[in-house]
Amino acid sequence: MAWPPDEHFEALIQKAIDFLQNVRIARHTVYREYAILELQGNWGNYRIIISEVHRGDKTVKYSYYLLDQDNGLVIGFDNSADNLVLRLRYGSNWMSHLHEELPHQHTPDGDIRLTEWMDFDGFIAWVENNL
Amino acid sequence: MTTIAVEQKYVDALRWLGDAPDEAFRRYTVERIRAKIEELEAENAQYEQKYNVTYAEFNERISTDEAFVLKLRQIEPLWERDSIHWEFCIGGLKEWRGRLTNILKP
Repeated sequence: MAWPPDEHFEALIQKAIDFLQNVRIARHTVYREYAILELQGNWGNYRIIISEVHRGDKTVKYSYYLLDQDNGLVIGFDNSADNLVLRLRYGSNWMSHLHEELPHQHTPDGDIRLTEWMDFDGFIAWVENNL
Repeated sequence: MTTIAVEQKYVDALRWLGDAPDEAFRRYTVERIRAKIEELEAENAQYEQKYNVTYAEFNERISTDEAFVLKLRQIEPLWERDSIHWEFCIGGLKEWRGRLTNILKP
């Protein structure tokens, strides 16, 4: 991902405006080594929260959430270096991969699955195909 | 050193106040950076209180401690979002403290 991510953030905001309703930029700040964007919006009766932090080394940590009318989690996509995900991906060898950020999805019932890298387009495609 | 244009009215006012323009500029910058640091420290404190660990501990235990991760979901179903904001907060603190140190050093 390019650094600084100004163009990426602008494109993300525009896509959110084009696809979602009631879009709100909850946080949008760029420092020398870190940049963050959080967007919130609605898709029908669902609420969507998108957060990305970009680092100066061009790596990105993200979370894309879909919430129901009661703000209950429907599904979340993120790439945190979650121990449950490391175990799922690497089994007994998980300790050799500490802090490795792996894209995955999770649901309220505790189901976790590895995924491809998630971005706005992929997330919207998931929403359209699954709801 | 960079030369910047300042309106004469500000230079005149500072002169009557007995302040050199560059010292006024320095003081304003330090004040703004300190306010930014305080804001980020307050955010960091909120997360430390919410999760009862420092960011370093949080980051370490996410990756190493299965029970901790399972407990996180109970504390905050969207904890990954918090971890994004927390990382930015800690990164920002490091950056702004560095700038302040750089400005204040003799």
